[in-house]
Amino acid sequence: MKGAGDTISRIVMIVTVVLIFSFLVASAFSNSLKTQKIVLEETELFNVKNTFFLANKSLAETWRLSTIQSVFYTGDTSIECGFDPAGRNLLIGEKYWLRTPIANAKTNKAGAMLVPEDGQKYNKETTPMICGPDRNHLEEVLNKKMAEFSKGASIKANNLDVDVRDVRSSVKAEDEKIVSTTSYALEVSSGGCANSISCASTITKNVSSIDVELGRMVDVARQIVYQGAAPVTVDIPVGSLLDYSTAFIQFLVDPATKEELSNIGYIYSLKFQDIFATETFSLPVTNSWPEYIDKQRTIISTIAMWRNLFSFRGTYLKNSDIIVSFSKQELISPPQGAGMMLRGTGLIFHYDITITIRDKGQYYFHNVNENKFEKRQPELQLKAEDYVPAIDCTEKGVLEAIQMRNNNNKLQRIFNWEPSKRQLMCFQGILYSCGDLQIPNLPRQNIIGVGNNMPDGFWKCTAGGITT
Amino acid sequence: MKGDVSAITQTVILSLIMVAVITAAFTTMIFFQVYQLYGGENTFQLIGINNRPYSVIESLTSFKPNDRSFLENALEASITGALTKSNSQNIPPPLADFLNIYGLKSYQVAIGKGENNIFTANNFVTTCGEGKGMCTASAGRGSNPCGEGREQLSDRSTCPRDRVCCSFAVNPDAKKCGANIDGVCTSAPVGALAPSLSCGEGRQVINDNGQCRVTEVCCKYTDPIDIGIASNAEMPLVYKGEKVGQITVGVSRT
Repeated sequence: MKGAGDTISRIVMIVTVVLIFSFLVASAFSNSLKTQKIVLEETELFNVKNTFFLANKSLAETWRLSTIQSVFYTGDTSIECGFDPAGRNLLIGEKYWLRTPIANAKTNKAGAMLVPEDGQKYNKETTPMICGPDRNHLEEVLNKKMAEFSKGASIKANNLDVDVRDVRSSVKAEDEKIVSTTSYALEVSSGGCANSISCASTITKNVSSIDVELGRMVDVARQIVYQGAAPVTVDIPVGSLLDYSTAFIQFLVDPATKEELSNIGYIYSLKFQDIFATETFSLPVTNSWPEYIDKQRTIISTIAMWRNLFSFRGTYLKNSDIIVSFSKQELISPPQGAGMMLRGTGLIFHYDITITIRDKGQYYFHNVNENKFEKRQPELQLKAEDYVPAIDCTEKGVLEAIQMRNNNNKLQRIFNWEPSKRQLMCFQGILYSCGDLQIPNLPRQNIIGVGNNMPDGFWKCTAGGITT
Repeated sequence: MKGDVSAITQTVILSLIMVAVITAAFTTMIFFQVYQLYGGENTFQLIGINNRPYSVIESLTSFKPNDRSFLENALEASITGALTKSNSQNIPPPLADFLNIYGLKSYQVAIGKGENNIFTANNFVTTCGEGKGMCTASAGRGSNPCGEGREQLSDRSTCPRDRVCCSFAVNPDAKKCGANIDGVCTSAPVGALAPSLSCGEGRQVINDNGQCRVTEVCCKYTDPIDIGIASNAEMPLVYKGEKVGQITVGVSRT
């Protein structure tokens, strides 16, 4: 009986020891599995953390590059002047900030508001047409373009889900830089934050600053086109392209009374001067048509370039150059129906220019058409086209003065065409040439052949020009 | 008496069994403790290796191989689909110099657009001679295109046409040099403009410790490069709301 009891107690002991052993082994295995699980989770957490960090850094570059492309677009489209998809604004033409269509007469209404009203991009129904964007318009275009780039994305990286949501950008144009602030929600997870402990998410903000003085360029461009507050120099007595345009108008008409009022901005010295100019007005005689065009080129270029050096309104460019290029510069006779000459006929100076304000810094521009990145300087291009009356054959005051000096009672005005060669005559409000001078639009009947009398019957057209 | 002897025997056997069981239990416990310690080391190693390519990408992003950061180059290359179109064709040489600072035995950096590879840089060597040598430029080394100390192996089937297969192993008869006698005195090849060009691929010039002749340089035969990539990391490149490509970095365990 004692033997049976011993055996049972021994079996119980063995079972107990085996159970303890099994428990210890199971515990050891369990610990090992837990450790492995923790390691894997830790690795995944690190992957999530690292991917989050890299994605965030990559997005910062995305927003920076997007800002650069927005700057290029805004400058290249001239703050979208003439690109606006509505109404009259398109008539001005792409990139034009000032334009007088040849068919339109310049506005000569006294008191007419020629410049855009405060906060407006375009002027109203007047000629010249003007697009004069300010910094708010600049920021509008920058923000519009930036919005095309600022989009969310759901992508995969390192076998993780990367979600970029709620992207919002805001661009500010400061004097010397464009600053864009992009806020967005970034989430990196393995199968979504709701289903995974490995998740990193944040709402963050990125600020990109591009060193380009586009804001200042717009201010200066507006001054070049219509905000020139004072004459450029004594020799070039106009302050802006609009001043230059209106300086050729002698009289303004009061819309109520139809009375003609002298334009205080009128500058007679800008005109093509006849052979009596020195003795009548103490002005140098215009020696030839190339000389006249050269002089106008200088005036227009100086109006533009002067702003690069100094501005009477305190805005000047620190890191940009201004380049003026003429695509058209000619003297023409007003065509049929052209409203340039307010009365009679004469000669019109026509110019078409592109003013480029180019920053000295360089960035990579995405040429989408050729699908390549090109290193270039951001720039603001603006165009201006105008027709101004160089000779008005009915100009009041001039003829009277000539009559007094000329003493033959015929009221003719005679001009040089080729250097020091008298070949143009104004008589009774009409322009005549001595010989065919190839002046565009000059009617054939106004071309007097060599050997014939000029229409006043006093002067003759000879091979050497108009002589008595 | 017989019953007592049997009981004593049973008790001894039982005790032995219990001792054996307890010993086995403790041995197992100790084994697992040691295993866990070893495994823990692996844990840190695993996390470290896993992190390394991320660190490399992180520092790559601010690296400027030309007038732009590597990240800007990569993003623009991904948008256009080619290095030439993003004006980034001059990236590779400075990139190799930059990555060599890390002293990684093996690395690979790639810019890709989806499945298409735009650019790859690595320090892999092409092995030949059944893995015992590497493909090496042969130009200008006279009778032994591999240079002194290295043997030219006949199997060059994996090498480009202008390359020969040179052994990793150094000939024991070679004239040794350097402070640790780990270089081989090597004649400068005809027309070599710089000493560094005298050693050839897979070798570098070290101080000869006065053991070589004037016309020789001391070339250290570097270890064959481990081509195994242990872990990869990817940086997504996004533009206009789309993933346009990625930068991928792979590094070796050491």
